[in-house]
Amino acid sequence: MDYIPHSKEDIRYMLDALGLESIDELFLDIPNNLKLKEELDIPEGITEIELVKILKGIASLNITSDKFLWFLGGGCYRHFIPQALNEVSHRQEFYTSYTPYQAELSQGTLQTLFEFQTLLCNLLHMDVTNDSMYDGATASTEAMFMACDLTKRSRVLVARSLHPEYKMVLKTYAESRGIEIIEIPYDKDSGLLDIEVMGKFIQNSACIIFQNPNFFGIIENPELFEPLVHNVGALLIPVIVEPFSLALIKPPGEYKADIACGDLQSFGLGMRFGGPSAGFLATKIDYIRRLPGRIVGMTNDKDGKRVYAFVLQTREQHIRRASATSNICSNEALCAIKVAIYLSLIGEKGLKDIALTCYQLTNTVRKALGSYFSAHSFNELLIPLSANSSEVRDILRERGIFVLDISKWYPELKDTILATFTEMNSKEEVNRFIEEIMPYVRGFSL
Amino acid sequence: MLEDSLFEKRKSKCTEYINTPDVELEIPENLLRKSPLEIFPSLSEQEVVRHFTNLSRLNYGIDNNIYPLGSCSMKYNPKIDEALAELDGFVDIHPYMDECYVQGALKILYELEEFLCKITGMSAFTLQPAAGAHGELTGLLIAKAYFRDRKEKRDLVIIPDSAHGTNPASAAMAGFKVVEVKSDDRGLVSPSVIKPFLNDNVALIMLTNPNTLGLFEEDIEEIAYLVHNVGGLLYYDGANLNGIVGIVRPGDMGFDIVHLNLHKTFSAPHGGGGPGAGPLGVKESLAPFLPVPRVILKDGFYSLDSNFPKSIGRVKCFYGNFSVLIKAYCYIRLLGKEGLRSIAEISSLNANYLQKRLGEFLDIPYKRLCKHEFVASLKSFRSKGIRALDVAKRLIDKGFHPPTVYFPLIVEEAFMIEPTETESLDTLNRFIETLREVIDEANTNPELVKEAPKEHIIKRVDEAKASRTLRVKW
Repeated sequence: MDYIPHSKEDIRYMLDALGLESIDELFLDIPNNLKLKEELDIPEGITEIELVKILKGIASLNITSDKFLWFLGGGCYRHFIPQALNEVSHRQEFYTSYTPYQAELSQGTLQTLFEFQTLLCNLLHMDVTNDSMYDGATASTEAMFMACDLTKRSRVLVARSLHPEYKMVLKTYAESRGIEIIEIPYDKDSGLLDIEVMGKFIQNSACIIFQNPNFFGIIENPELFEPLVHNVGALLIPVIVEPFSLALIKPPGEYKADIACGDLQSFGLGMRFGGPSAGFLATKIDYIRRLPGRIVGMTNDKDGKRVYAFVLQTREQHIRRASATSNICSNEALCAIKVAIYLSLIGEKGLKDIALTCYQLTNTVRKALGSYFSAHSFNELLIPLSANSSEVRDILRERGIFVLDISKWYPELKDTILATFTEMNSKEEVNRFIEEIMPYVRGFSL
Repeated sequence: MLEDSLFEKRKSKCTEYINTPDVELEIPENLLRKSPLEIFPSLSEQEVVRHFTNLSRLNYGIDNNIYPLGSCSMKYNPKIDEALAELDGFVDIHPYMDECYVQGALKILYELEEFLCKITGMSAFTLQPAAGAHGELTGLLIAKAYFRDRKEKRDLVIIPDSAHGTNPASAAMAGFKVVEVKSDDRGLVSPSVIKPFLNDNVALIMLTNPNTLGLFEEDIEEIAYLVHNVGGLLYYDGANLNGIVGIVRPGDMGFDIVHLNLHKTFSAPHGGGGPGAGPLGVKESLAPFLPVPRVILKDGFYSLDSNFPKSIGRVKCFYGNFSVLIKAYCYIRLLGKEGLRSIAEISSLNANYLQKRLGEFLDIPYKRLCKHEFVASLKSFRSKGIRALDVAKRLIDKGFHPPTVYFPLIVEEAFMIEPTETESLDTLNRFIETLREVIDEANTNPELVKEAPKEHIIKRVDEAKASRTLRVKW
């Protein structure tokens, strides 16, 4: 089936108006030898009835998280989503509209994005944020480019405890511009960024990019190394992969971050096999002209009414072309809209309650089983095992329990498992988890 | 009615979705947040729903009326695609689940890659890029890796002046030098303007075909021959695939690298700016450089394979904008081969019909057979002090979203118009008559047009002030 509204008579009428005999004549400018001689080699069209059957069949080949005891995180988290969010964000005025270039017809998107910017700046304690990047990983690449441009340096320090896939994306992008990446290890005992090693390399580096809480769930203490970074003119760039942490722990602005980036998947966007989510990129107001992507500002219309519009579009590719701050055009606007609605629905109280619940469950498990690292954790816990990571993961999986084996990225942690706890886990589930994993935990095994 | 700011609303009782836990915080004080979240609203679910519902009503969507933005392919977004992308089996799955639990998701990715190969005439696709520009960057990084592998140093990318702004921006971001070539008086890229730049320093030529004037680049075979002859590659910007899908394939025209915008030709919605999806396809010789992981099928089992040593690595976390990919998959299945061809046929019919009828009262600088879009120029109204933007704003008064203005840059006072195949003859006629009315007004009552919108709820927005005052949060 298709969605074309033309009757045969309509087509005839339009061809007549054009003085053409047939549709084929619309393509006379295409050299004949290039044209397809046969139809495309893809299936015939189907009806909506058939499509629903096929897609439901395919969806049933996936096993959803509710069938398991779910402690899988690692940069994609299962959180509560109020039905109201799905309803409101799925209004056609939001999801079918284009980038709001015509401000008079786009105040819904523009005001919502302005409110997104406000909420996010408050949460991050930063001056300005754009309206989203593709995801946390690509946001961190743009932060890296900003830092190199601002400092005119081409060496970048990246924490080993940053999400492994973020590091891979940084590496891909860094190579394109000849940026050198030096990996800064984590302290073997605490799991925190190794400040001593960082101190050795920070001179002449553009920035230090680190995740907080880091990939192991450890809460970093950036105030300890912030002076080291700023004293040599480098930039401090935290990556926030679990933004619920900000309700509880120090936000980037409080420890003088120059650029903050990360991912907002936790705020109502769902897991969706990893996408779409929304990356964010925030900075100090002094750097706003270096900030890529779209930014909404407040202004007024001719009647003096308060309205909103894009600002500083001259930074962008459609105006500046090869000299633009970035090539980004389409972003994840609808995801940003969802984040604004989500944060409004749960409010400050919901934000804190969810963060506290994540922490509480994690800490319960930590007290029962111990932690591989000594520093404090927020919602994720690296558990020390007496057996191999993948073995334990497989045993737990057999029992319907999902955790993350990180040893493929961190061979040195081959006897650990990463477990994530959110408000979606009940206390009973967490107790069952403790019971099931205990025989394989170092110090508890029989 | 405009809607108050979220932050002006009186704090009341927030709907509580989560029970407050009884927690003993053992995190040291110096790691805890000090700054208040004073700006956060405290509202009931109903108040929040009303606020954003009222805001949404200040938007214009494709379900309201025609959205004729050039190079954006603003077509109808089938409701069933939206619903199916939200099935639990597609939403409630994690990227790090073992492959045996997500065979359905991998099947979608695998089959979509196959469909896109067949549609474009390419050998392999990656679905990782989240948007067209992201696909462009991925393609340029692949080209770079390809030349490095061949121990060739090439750093020049040739781009016509009619190209989308993302082309030069992506090339610069990938570390290439950009040289811009002029379109000829046909509105096309002529082999003769390219020839002087061709040498063994040329990495790529980036082209959009049909180009942003909606014209098919007739000399594409010769251009392909010329660039291949000096060892360079030909890049296809797929933003305008809508005008030729099912008729001719980029691969058969000689393109080596192709990005597509699934949120254009394949009807995934634009979401007010995103999320999109910008899959990238390549010919066989470039396939080893595609991002990892790649989806493979062996003995009926789908898996993710990262063992491609020449790969450029990752360009995004996980596997791309999965929900968007599902919508495109649904669209391709629904339309099938005959339906996809009718996209090109009817979108070109609609565009040519509009071009012809609007040509009765507007200047069409490149008046020839167009594909899915075309460009008009309003420069003759400059003498009356009327700009393209004024005419656009007057269309808003009359209930229509204006076309793209001031692009492509090679046409003065440009109106870039793309109706898409899902607009009916009746809608096109109403658009034509409305635009005719506005042009009449421009001739008889220019002040009215200059002050537009006058009848719309929001009057002309002072965008310069927004950039001057930079009030970017409450």
